[in-house]
Amino acid sequence: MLSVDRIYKTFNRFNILNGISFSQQEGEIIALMGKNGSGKTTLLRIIARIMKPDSGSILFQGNELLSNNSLFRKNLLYLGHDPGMYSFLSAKENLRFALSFRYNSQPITKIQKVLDHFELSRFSSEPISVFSKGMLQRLKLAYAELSSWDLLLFDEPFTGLDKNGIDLVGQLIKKWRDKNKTVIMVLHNEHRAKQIADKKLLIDSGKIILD
Amino acid sequence: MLFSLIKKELMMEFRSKQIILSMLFFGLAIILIFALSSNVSRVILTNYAPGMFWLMNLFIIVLGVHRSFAYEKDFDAFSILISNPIDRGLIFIAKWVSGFLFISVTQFVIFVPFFKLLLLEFPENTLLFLSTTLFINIAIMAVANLISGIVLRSKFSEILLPLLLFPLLSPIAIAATKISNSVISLQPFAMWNEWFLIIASIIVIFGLAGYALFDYVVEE
Repeated sequence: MLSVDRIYKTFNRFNILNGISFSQQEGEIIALMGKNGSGKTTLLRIIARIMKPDSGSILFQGNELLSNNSLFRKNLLYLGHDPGMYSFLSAKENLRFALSFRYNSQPITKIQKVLDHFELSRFSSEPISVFSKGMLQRLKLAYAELSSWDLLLFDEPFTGLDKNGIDLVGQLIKKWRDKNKTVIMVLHNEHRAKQIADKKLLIDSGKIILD
Repeated sequence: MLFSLIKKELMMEFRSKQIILSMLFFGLAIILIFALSSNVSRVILTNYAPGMFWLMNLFIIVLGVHRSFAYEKDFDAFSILISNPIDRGLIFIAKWVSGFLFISVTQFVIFVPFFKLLLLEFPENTLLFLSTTLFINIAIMAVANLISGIVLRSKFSEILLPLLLFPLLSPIAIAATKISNSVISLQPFAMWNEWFLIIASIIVIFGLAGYALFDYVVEE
């Protein structure tokens, strides 16, 4: 399903990714781990084609993701560290806008129901600039729930969440697993990675040292 | 998709009012400085008026375009936007269209104070003056949005934007001043058509370049 082949990335002559290669089967959940600055986020951003690698190739569903054909990314969803939404718009408006680019997503009428599920409906018309970190994280989860995707790239899904929120992510991951969805998530908690992931990739000095 | 992108730009501005208001106040401040500091006869001032008008516009456009792209940096919204399965050239078109609307609205509001505060006569053919101004805005916004997209990912975008933009806008500013001067002094089109064609060429070149290159320039 996903094949990452010899990805190199350099920042200011510092090798962040040093020939990263791995492959992922459909329905597999991968935990990407490593120290701060080891290149986990960089790798996810390269797969999502937000960042350009120096060299390498990424095949997803048989298509080269690094080419400029945007349709090759139609089954891929990236959720980064930051909310990735517009601070002056409300939760509903942000979701409506984001979903307008996704193919086969849930109908927009379902937004309120999903926001309800993530305990955000009370604030659904407020600009998200007033949201706490945990609320923004829940909003990202709502976006993942409403969008249609085959591969999810999720950078630290548990950050900023309270006990309820962590349980919600757990339920979502279970649901994704049942639906045979493929996920790569950046995690820092070894115990959690063992519980959730099928495979653990440990990045160090720009290379995968544990597969 | 293009409609969604343009709607988002307009909604953001409707909520924040940061682009138009900042351009408006900065523009009025410049006009006031021109009005209070100039001590020349009305004839000389009339000759310089188009140049002053476009100089003011260049300053406020840098402010507006920078703000328009700064929204995208908040919460890293731009990264999620470009990771979507969309033609990234459409993002450029949406910024171009919305930027054109914002600068045109600002100019319409500033138009009266500009001539009143500088104690100048309104152009006899106001309609032609305004329509040529709109046409020039299209060219300026094509260049400004392409350059803003290029410097967006830089940590020094605030410095880089004017440094790169002003030299590239200089030919447009010269042509714009010539066109406005000719319109105000009621010269026939034949006298200023070459300047008009320069603006038209810039629209085509930078419009196509922006659409084609935006896919690559916005990547980190």
